[in-house]
Amino acid sequence: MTIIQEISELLQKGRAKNVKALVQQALDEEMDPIEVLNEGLLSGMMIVGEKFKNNEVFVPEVLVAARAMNAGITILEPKLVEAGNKPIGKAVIGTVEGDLHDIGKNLVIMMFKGAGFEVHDIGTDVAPQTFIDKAEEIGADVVGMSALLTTTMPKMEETINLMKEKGVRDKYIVMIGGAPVTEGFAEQVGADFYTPDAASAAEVAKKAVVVK
Amino acid sequence: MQKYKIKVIEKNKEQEVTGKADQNFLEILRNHDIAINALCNGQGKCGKCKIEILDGVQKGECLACKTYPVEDCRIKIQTLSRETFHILSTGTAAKQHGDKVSAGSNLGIAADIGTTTLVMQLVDIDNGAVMKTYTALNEQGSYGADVISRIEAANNGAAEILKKSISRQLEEGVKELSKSKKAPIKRMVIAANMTMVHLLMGYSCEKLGVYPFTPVNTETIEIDFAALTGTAGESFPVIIIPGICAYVGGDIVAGLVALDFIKCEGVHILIDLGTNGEMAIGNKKKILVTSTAAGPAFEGGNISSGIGSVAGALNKATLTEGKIKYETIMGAPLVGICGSGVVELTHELLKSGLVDETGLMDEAYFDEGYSLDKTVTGSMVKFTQKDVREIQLAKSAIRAGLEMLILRYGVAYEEIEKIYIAGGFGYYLNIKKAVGIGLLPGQYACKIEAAGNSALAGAKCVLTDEAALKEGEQLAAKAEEIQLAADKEFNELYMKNMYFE
Ligand code: B12
Ligand code: FES
Repeated sequence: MTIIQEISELLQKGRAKNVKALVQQALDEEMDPIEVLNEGLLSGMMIVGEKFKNNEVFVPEVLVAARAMNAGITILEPKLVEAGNKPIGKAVIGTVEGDLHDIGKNLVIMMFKGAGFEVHDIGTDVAPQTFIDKAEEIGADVVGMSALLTTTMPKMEETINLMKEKGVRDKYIVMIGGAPVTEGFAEQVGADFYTPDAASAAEVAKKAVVVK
Repeated sequence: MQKYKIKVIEKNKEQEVTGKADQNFLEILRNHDIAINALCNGQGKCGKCKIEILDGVQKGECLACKTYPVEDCRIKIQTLSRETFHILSTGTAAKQHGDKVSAGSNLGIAADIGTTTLVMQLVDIDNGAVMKTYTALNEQGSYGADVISRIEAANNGAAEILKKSISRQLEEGVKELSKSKKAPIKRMVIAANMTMVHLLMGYSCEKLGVYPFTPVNTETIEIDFAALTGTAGESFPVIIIPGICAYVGGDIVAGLVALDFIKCEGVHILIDLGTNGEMAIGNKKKILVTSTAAGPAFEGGNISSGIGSVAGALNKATLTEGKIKYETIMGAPLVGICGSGVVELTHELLKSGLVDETGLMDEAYFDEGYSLDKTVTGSMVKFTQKDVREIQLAKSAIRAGLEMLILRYGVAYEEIEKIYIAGGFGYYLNIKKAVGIGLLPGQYACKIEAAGNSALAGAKCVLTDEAALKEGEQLAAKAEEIQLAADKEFNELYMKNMYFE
């Protein structure tokens, strides 16, 4: 097994410490940091996401894998900057106003990171204006909104309408999700994409930014 | 708009209604006060609103909430009916007055308005003897199974309908209970969660469904019955037991009254293992409460072959040497799996290694699920990988909530005297198996006790003992709520307890 394969395997098992050590070793051996990132860390995370989507692994496993990924990325970061690595896009992701559920949102963020996005987590209970302000500030490609309560779903529509009002709607790929959200609802409120799980969300976003 | 004649066929009843082309079947049925199961309130996600169209181009089974009539037709439905539903009216651990013979001159009614069920008892106020019990399914159920769906429905214009629906049911209960009574009803005491109280009182639910979840009123309510239900019905005073916060209501306070928390020296815990997972810990000095939103898995919701506690629901299972043996409620032919059955199956599959500690099912069952048996209509009752995942979300919410409550209360394990499990699910639950899947903590196993319908028991206490209302008010005032949503520690415990260990 190559060191890169090993990084991917250990990440999938959530072994943050080992991942960290191996990433360091890879750098010491002067391997390409971008390759370590894409083929080791991110590909490992994508495998975990895929397994989660298929119900083979569950939330805690995704979280520990993401922790391992983050540990690896921290070590890589300076080298990535040096090597001029660019994220495939920028995303602002948060839970809508009135809603504090964040587990699903956090999984989506992890999978976006795993797909190579620069992600800005704006937390929970996020007002429509705040979504827009942040997206404008960082020049986001994707705005992702999560809602777990049927009573807070209307906030998604409000945010989209506010975007239209401000004339910025077309700048962003708007994605929505959360257990009570449906494809039909996404259509109705004028979001670009809905996906039922985090792994597909990242896949769809990745494709969408390429087209954009 | 095109109108169609729809003949609605239930078990042994037939009626004709009219529906417009832009109304789906669920809406049409609701408009005619025909209550069918609609767990997800018409989102097309739960699959519980199935009806059968008997003729025409749409012939076959379909979801009522997603299907619109295109011609006159006949449909076969199953209404929410109480005959087959097991509704709990006894409070086992609660203070019992014993079965005294009633003089029958001083009568009152104790009522428990649950999100799913309604229980009312005619009680002799002088000695607490129960003379008659009335049970029904809460017909608001066709507006969604959980409180959030009802709040949502109320906020979208159904408030009036929901108020009328429960008023009508209360009236029917009163009528039923006082059929053969010898004296007029003196008063009625109601225990209900905050949402049920809001809907009954016609309060705005606008702030009840979004953070920070502010109820209009949590205090004791005293109102005349005729004024409450808005009809020319009987007139007598009604007392609604006070609540604590949006998700810990008068039903829990009533439970605390019935279980005498106000007099306890030692620390006790009360858990309602329902959709909202309300729980309280404390004694006469200090009380903490919280709610953990487990979801409907323990009521059979979101489970592929899940069903409420109806006759024919699998509620017991043992798996030995690869052979499954099961029992159903009332021994009726298998129709699905109810909450306690879900717990038992999970436990059995874990025990025999067919589900591992991370919740992963054995390869042999991963794709198709573990098949149990066929129903009379020939469909297979199964327990699937996705079902196990639902259980993990639900059981961990309860367990992590409980751990947080104990942690924040700052009490050592040994100091906890008793854990009462309220509600129908708790009553039929096999505690050993619940501990086995990690729903409840093992170190307390011998301290766990089913409390039955403690809300109803509390309403009865208040009905028969004037001091009990004061106790309830004191308990409610004393209680402090802990919020889990923004708590990092809760999230950690939630992840940890998702495993089966
Ligand atoms: C855990 C939980 C909580 C925790 C939250 C902890 C936290 N920090 O998040 C606690 C206990 C605090 C809580 C509180 C409440 N909860 Co809660 N909660 C749940 C529970 C059990 C699991 C939710 C969860 O985390 N699922 C796991 C994640 C991974 O799944 P997910 O969020 O759906 O996310 C996936 C997809 O949806 C998608 N996705 C998610 N977001 C996005 C975004 C985008 C852009 C995309 C593309 C995809 C996507 O990807 C994710 C991964 O694949 C559910 C019931 C259940 N069994 O589902 C109830 C539930 C969501 N809660 C509910 C309620 C009512 C509440 C409360 C209002 C009431 C209460 N009793 O306390 C409070 C409100 C809190 C608040 N202020 O918001 C209800 C909502 C009912 C309804 N009809 O809307 C539910 C359904 C339970 C129920 N039936 O009663 N809850
Ligand atoms: S699928 Fe129709 S009410 Fe849930």
